[in-house]
Amino acid sequence: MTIYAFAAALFTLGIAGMALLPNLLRKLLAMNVMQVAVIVFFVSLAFKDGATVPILGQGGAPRAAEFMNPLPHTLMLTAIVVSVSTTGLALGLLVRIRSRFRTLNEQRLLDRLR
Amino acid sequence: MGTAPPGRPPAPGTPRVRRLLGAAAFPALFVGLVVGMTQLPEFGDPASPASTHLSPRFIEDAAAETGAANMVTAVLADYRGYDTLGEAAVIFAAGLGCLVILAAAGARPDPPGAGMSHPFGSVVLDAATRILVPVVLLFAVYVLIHGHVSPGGGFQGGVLFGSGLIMMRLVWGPAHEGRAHQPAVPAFGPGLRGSLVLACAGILAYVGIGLAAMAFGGEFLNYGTLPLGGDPAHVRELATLGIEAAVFLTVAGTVAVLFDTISIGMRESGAPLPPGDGDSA
Amino acid sequence: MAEGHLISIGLLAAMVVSAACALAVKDLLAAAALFGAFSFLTATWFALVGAVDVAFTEACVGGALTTILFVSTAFRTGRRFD
Repeated sequence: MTIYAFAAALFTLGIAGMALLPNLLRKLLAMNVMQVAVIVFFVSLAFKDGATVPILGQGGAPRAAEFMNPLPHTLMLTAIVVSVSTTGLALGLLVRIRSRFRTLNEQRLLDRLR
Repeated sequence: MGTAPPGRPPAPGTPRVRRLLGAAAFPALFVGLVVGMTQLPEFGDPASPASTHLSPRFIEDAAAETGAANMVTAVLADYRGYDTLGEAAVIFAAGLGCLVILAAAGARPDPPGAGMSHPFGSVVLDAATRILVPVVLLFAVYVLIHGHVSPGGGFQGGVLFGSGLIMMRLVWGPAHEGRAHQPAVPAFGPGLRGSLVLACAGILAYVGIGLAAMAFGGEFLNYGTLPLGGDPAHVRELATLGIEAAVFLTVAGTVAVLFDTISIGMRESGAPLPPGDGDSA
Repeated sequence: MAEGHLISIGLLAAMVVSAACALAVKDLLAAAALFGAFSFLTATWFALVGAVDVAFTEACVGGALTTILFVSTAFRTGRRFD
């Protein structure tokens, strides 16, 4: 429960940052924090007491209780790499926005777009 | 509406009320999330639904069916091959989006001595990079190939390989085609175009392996039918390695393209700049 | 590892603090460095709960690549958030 609460705190931090911060780059950082919160939550669902990492060692047939759940690990592994590629794309866009409008402040951008 | 600026209807309520509502929304969200999470199974409960449906089959049969001791690799590249194809396509699409940005802004290299394309010219950096880059690239390939029996695989290896490419770009200057000024050490490795070719080759190889499985009588991405010799588990192991290599190429190429999009200088085309300073930072 | 494991709680608390600092500072380079620290703490926590593959990915991506991308953006847009 404590761990879920920490994930909720990170998520709230990220979404509040996305909504309240004035600068688009800081909003992007906040979005990354939110993504990590979701990943932390998923990975915590994969944990099993008394289990080990999902890599088969020597020995007999594996039993399900001996290993962590590999499915959330797989999903979150790909999610992390997708998140970095979307972050890179967003940063490329922000560099263009900055060089064209001379600002990354949301309010000033809206004023100049009008 | 006479005084309101066009396109922006006035928000309801006074600014003070809105600010109070905004300040209350996020604590409320946090409390709501925590209250909802009390209904979840206990942390570490081996009998939770997430651990009793589907995953026992992955844990108990993965090694026998796919020959991969690392269950995450088995699930990633074999059982959930469709899903991984989608993820690789998203990453590739991000690379394509970068191309759109580059094309729309009229990409051109920075003039000599400006921007990131100028090599730093430091002997220490040059020597350190000469030692580090081969190690990083080799380790990336090791991570890819060893991903069956240890943590690692196409995604991690691809990111590491892309980091090596970025390191060369950072220290040795531009790797894009038609460089006007020769850096102190000639740039090595794929440029923007070469990175794109890597990414395209990766995604095509992924789809190609899936279609090859169809051509030999299986379903799309069901590798068991490929005529690679040996028992089915061994065939699946080889095909899984091929899938991981395809993901590796896609990720490595896209990562380099992302860095180029941020770092290559731009000549703004289209609308003139608004009045202001004229620096090109 | 029990629910209230001290190392796990400490890492999670440090994650929240470093994320809050990364969002609070007004210098892009400092924010990128703090975000790298946040990612590394996250990777350590993933390794602690047995998600070694996720920890590896997070260490490569968050600790290295995202930081590189943010720093090169800082080079282009200037360090100060406006």
